Amino acid sequence: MKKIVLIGMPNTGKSTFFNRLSGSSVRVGNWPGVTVDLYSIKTLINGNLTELIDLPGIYDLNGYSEDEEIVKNFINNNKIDQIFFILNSTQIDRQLELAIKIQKLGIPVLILVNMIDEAKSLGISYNFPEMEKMLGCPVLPISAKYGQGMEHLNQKLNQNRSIPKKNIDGLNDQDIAQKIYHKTVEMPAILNDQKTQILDNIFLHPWLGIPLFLLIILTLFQIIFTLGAPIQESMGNLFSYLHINYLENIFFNSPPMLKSFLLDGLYAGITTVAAFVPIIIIFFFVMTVVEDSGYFSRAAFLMDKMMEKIGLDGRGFVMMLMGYGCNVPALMGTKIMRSKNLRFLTMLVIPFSLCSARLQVFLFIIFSFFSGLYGALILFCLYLLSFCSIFITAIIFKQQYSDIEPLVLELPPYRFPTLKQMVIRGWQEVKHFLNRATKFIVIGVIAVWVLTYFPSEYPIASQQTYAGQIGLFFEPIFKPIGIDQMLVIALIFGFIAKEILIGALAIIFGFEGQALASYLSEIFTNGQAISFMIFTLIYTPCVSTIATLHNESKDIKLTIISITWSLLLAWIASFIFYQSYQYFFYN
Amino acid sequence: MTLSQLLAGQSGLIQSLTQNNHFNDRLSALGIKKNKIIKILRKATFGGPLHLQIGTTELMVRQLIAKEIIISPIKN
Repeated sequence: MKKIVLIGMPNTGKSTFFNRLSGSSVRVGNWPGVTVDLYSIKTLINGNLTELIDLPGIYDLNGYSEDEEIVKNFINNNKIDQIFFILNSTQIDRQLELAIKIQKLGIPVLILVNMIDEAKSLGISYNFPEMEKMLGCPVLPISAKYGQGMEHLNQKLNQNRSIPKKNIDGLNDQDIAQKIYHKTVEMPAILNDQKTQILDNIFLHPWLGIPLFLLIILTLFQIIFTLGAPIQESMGNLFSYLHINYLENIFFNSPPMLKSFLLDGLYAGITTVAAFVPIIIIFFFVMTVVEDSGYFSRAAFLMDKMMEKIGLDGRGFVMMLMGYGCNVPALMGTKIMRSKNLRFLTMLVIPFSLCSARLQVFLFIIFSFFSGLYGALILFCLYLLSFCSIFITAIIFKQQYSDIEPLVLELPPYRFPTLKQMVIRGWQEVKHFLNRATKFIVIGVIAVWVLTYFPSEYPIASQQTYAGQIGLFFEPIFKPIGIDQMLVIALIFGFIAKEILIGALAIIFGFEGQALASYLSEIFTNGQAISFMIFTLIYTPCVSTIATLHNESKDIKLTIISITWSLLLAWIASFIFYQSYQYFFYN
Repeated sequence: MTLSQLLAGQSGLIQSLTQNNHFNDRLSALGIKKNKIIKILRKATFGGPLHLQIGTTELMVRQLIAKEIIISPIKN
């Protein structure tokens, strides 16, 4: 089988080209010499079954950045038959040089001049036959987004060897690239993308820009969760319907332990994973619009100054805000940050974003303990605390994960993605999540089941189970923050997902709904309730978040830091609160 | 003078880049090279990044880097 790799600078439409050839048959895999996942497809190109591999976008071949290192190692460790070098036709003036460097690798190169539709509307003209002669390799103008030129791909590949290279005198690659550019490309005197200029005057307005940004994010947020929440809820209802009406009957005569393992362990785990599917799809639908429209880099521009101080960048701010909906897709979205340290630091702060699952828990507890204005104030303070945790974490870890690459971001012209691009993205991200996170999440859920079920002669989640014993063991640590053995059991459940925390309290105390609310407010003080919420806010959001953080970073150290630091910070914050509460109210 | 000293709307001819060769490789791949004309489209508030235009490419660059890029101003 032939192997073709796709190389190009960032923002040249590489993935759009890749997706056009692949549809949705993408495979994620490991390759010799590289440690990251690369997307690849098997498809028929020029009559041969071919494996096409999408390599990360690079600016150079010198191996300075992580992505350049990956491309270099991949090329050195794999036998490659053909390179597709893709460039942005409107930026050909600065991208030809890399094309010349790529040619020197000694592998046949086909140059794809992408976004030719945009170049035409800007009035740029090209002499492609002359360009082919000067470069000595085939050049094909295409629009990957709309499909123009794709039909000539095979024909161009056959042309590969038949182009004699003209001799060009040049001091270096840059010089040669400039000569080819001046000979074959004609730019209009004034390049005027008025649409982008007008939009930038609005979106990047000195003092309207930021309020507008917050408004846009808030709207997107609303879209994601008004669409996602009902789907997630009805899926949840469907799963419990199946559980109660069918699965219970099927396993009616099974030994209780097997039944509990299958239903409370395995089934609960799989449905936990499944519950994320709609939210991830919708999230990436919206993210595709935000990213591909060019607004994402504008948002980064607006928020960069604030984030620079804590070692992050403007993009991190956007992902962090998205985390307030759900941490899992926000963590997945950090992929676009190509600098490893910057990405890791962003991943470390996202889990402190108060997600909608935690909000549900807080609303229940606040409703049980506090009324009206007090409740609203407490909720506001929890949001504030979430922001503070992010800032404190970033400041503490910014030395360890300091960004060595200069932050230079492109601000591409405003575009609108096609529906196809949005669907493919949503689908790919979900597949990625399911492939990589399912195992981890199911294991996590089963582990919690084991802790709360055994020894099996006691009721589930009672004081005598392993979870109860752990609670008892840790009670000296949790006592100073007002959390007793039973609440520790609830926190162990909360490790699976915050959605089930209230359900866990119901199992532990034997009350549901309103009865649970009044029972809780009887046996716990207001201080204990707030301390419990503070701890719930800051400690590990859920097993899915950990699984995602681990998969996206491929770094066990970062995963461990994330878990232990959040537990530590949760304890410290609860301790400070609870001790001062006790001091002021009981002294 | 440095790039960061230019005002929004002004252009300059790049004389030299930063002290760091790796940074410079990245900058030149994005079109920021010696003898190129660079225009500041706008500056973010509170000393935030610069919005630049070089040829057909628009970029954002932080002040820290802009302070190292030496330019000679061009009269509009």
